[in-house]
Amino acid sequence: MLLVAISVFLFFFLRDGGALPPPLGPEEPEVPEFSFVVKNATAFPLARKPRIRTHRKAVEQVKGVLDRFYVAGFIDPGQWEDGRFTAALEQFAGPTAREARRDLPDLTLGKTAIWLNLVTPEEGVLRITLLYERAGNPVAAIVKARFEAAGDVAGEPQDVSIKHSGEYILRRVSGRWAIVGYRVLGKIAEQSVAATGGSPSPTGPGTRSPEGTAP
Amino acid sequence: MRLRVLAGLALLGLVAWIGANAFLGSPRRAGAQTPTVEIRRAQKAGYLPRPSNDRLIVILAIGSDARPGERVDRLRADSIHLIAVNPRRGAGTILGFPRDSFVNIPGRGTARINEAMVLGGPPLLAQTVQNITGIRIDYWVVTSFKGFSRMVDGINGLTVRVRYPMHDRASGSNFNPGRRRLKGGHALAFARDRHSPRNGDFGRSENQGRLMLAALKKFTSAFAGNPATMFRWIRVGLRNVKTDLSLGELIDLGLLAAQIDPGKVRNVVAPGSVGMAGSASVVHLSGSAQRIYRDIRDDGILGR
Repeated sequence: MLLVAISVFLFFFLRDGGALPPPLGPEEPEVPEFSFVVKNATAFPLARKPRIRTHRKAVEQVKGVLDRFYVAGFIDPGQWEDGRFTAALEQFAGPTAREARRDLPDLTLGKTAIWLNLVTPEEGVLRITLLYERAGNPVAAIVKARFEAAGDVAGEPQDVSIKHSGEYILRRVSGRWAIVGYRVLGKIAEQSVAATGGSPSPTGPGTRSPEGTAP
Repeated sequence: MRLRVLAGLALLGLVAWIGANAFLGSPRRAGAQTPTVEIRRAQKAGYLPRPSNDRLIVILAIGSDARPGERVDRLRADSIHLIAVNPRRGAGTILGFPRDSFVNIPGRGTARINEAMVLGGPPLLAQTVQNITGIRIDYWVVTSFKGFSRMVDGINGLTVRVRYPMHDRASGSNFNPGRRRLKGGHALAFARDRHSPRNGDFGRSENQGRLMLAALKKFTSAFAGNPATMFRWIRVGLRNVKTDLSLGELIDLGLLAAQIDPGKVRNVVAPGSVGMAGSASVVHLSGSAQRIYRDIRDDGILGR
């Protein structure tokens, strides 16, 4: 009898070409692709102008650092590690990483991450200025970044708006570009998210801050 | 029989659904008890690197007497300033030396301090100042009249408060008291005028220090608005100076300068008195200068 039941059960579930159905319950959302758009990239040569190819390569490398940093810090839940953000910290030079660890709540989603199922990037723009030494090699970069995204909050119908802007100073450290300084402004704002059975006010009753991130 | 099969299927489906949810369901989806997301107001954070050991940094800034076509680092030093920076406290001191200061030049005997650069370039002048003060000098920077003027133009001028009337044909200064924005040529005249200040060369050296402070103030303000400004300053600087600083060190210093509060930088001139050495008019640095040197040597900060 039980064999019959299982057979029928399997028949119904496997009849779509043998493909397994999606698991029941909430799916792990797919991590959106993200890459900054470079709005402008200025070269500051100390002597002759850098070769176009050199400049493009440097811009790509610098952009890569910021791409990786924002993906790890904002977009990919797989890299949040319950708020440790190790992959994001890897984009900083050694001594700066220590400071960045302290500033994680402002440099990344911080502990806000625990409320979010998915972050969908909406805008990411970079303005890059590169300093070239006399020989034409890039040695330092100053980057202005603007990032906007919508965060899908677990159990809430409305997204939260995530805005983050920053200025980053990068230098070549041990053959790779790394962030050596920063100045950021992070803002995560609720968009009419009503507390379950409570107030829709962002800061009023019904709003709870994860430990350590309250303003 | 058919009913039992359907009941069995229903039961199996229910068990599967509960099981799947138990294993796959996120604890964050706690249903009706889920609180609203935390709201963080706009928050700022920032960090700029400082030299790793936070030790005192001392630079000798030299204005050379060189005219166009002459070697900037082999002429007499018209202005000599020791700039000490305490990275940890974001403060420092500018200490000027009258160019006629009569001092011992290592290996060359006693002479006016400005002769040291003729005799051995900036390194010998740095060695001379180091011996006088006991303060270790890390770097030197030397510029010419033209270089100075170009640098000031390259950063779109400097703003200083002229404290007294300055009308001097020799230097070309022609300023009434008040706040003035000086372009390169005017800044050079302001820096060279030793006839208008009541105390001659001492006042001139002080005015040169005030121009440096004006530059620091302008730089910190510009950096705060747009850090990329630093690259323009570095480029303008390197095109118009000779220095033993590497580009990397210069970037380090630029990032450090952005963290210095100009209000925490004292501008002083080594005290002394005008006298004669043979037939030459010279400045004898006074014994009280030792107190200043000692104070700067400790932490780069004067009187605090």
